Amino acid sequence: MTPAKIEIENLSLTFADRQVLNQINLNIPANQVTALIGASGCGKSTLLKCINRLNDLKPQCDIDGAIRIDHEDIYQKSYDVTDLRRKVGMVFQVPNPFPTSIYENVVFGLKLLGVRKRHHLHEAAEKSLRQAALWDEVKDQLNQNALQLSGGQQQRLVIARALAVEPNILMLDEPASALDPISTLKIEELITELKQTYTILLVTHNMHQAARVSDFTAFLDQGRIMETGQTRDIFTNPRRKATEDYITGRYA
Amino acid sequence: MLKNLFARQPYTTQDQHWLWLSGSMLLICMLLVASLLFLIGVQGLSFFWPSDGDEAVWTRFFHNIGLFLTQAPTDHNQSGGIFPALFGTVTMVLLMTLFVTPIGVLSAVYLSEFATQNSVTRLLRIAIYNLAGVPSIVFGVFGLIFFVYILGGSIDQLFFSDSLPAPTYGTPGLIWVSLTLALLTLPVVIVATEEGLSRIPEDYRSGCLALGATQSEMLWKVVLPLTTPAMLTGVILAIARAAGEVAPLMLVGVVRSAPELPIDSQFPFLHLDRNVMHLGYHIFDLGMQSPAGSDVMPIVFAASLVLITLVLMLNLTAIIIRQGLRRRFQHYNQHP
Repeated sequence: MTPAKIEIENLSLTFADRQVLNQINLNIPANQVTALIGASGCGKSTLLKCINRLNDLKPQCDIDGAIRIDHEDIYQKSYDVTDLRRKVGMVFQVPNPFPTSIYENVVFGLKLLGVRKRHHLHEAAEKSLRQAALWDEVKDQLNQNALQLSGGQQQRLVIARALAVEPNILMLDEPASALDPISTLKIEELITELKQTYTILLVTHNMHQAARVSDFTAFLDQGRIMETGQTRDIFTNPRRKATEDYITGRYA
Repeated sequence: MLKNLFARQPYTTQDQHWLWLSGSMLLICMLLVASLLFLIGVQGLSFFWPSDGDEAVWTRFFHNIGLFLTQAPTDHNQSGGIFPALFGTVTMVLLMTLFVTPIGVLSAVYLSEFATQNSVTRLLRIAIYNLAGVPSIVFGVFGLIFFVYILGGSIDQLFFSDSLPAPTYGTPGLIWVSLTLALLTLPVVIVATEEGLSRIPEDYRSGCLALGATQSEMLWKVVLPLTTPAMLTGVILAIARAAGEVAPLMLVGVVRSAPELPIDSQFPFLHLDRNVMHLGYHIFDLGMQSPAGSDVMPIVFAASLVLITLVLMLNLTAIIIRQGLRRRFQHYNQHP
């Protein structure tokens, strides 16, 4: 068992008196792909947004419990939120490149950090675009508007943008749900490639995708963790009836 | 385009009733607008048409237009050109834009991005919306009391006390005209900007924050640039309204005849304390208060033509800029 990168302990979240997450306990292993599966509205995305504290600004949102990254509580007062968000990159369901050039998108995070040296920015841009398997497609059009790329390219660009600030955790919220099968395949290959360097959290509705790319799986239902374990075990030999029903599509 | 208008069918009988009713209403609107433009256009242009001879009429026609636009009025505005009024209108509208854009945009940013949404913000929003419905003369009275007497009076006492009792800023002038106009058009800019801000998808905001941006970095680098088309729409509406406003301005600094232009070669070049002339007021004054009666009506038409052309041109400029921005963001607009 690899050591835990993220430890989630008794995490509960209420949003306007509605219990969204209920006593979540989950350890996410380093340099592995952990898949979060569950029906829409079960709290998967909310859980992700707890890990980079994107829920902070939401009004009427109460969080209880602890999340530790590298054994450090990220909800303690002295913890720097912008620092946390650089450590934990996030890719959203719908590709959301900013309406500027491809290059500006990739170096966006670095510029926020105050990096100004051009050769430094260029190197970082090339490196992360290569990591996101996009470099060969866009190297001659870095100044083109990012919004002119295809959906699949945009999603890889957004991954490159997240990688450019050198996080050690990468969270992907249904990264392929808006993409065609070929783009999906590219993203999946990319995830497998990236887990050498990063701890990856993947929210997905696609059971085959979870089975293909993840090492660990956690099944959420109505804000609770129903079952966690090796993906192999969960998909071949689930311990709970609910998990089996969900995976096989008999969920109601 | 006309073909598309009629090509959609089949309509039911009920649909046809509504089609005819709404169609004829639209026709009435179009006819009214068309006859307005036609009347003003023909009457206005005929003012410039040379009345005698047939030699080089076109040259003289354009020459007359040029003279009308570039010369000062003479003989109690009853002859000559309209240059000071045209210049004054443009100056005060541009100055107003300088005031209203930052105040309006930043207010909208605070209201929709920073303020906690509760009953106070709701009340504030209702108040701003209602400000748009306040009769403009009320703004004029407010401008006279608050800007001219209170603000201008205080400035005089603090900085120009040696020239008192002759007022410097404590009297109607360009700056107060522009500020009153800015106040008048503030709701338009605030509402349009808020509307634009609310249309930026949540994904862009979260995407930016997730990269470690602070909320203000997110605003400056992603959200506000994307909102520029909406802001410009607000400013366009503000300009169009301001350029046509007359009544409140008579109280705060617009006059029948100003001896000097608000901008000249004398230091400090832009004279905020000077009285200015205004096209709208010029038209009102000539049409209603001229001793020459209906003899000056051709000038009134010509000046009206210039005023609507000016508003049209200001609008067109802003629309072209906005289209340029839209094109830059067109893929963003297709975002689900």
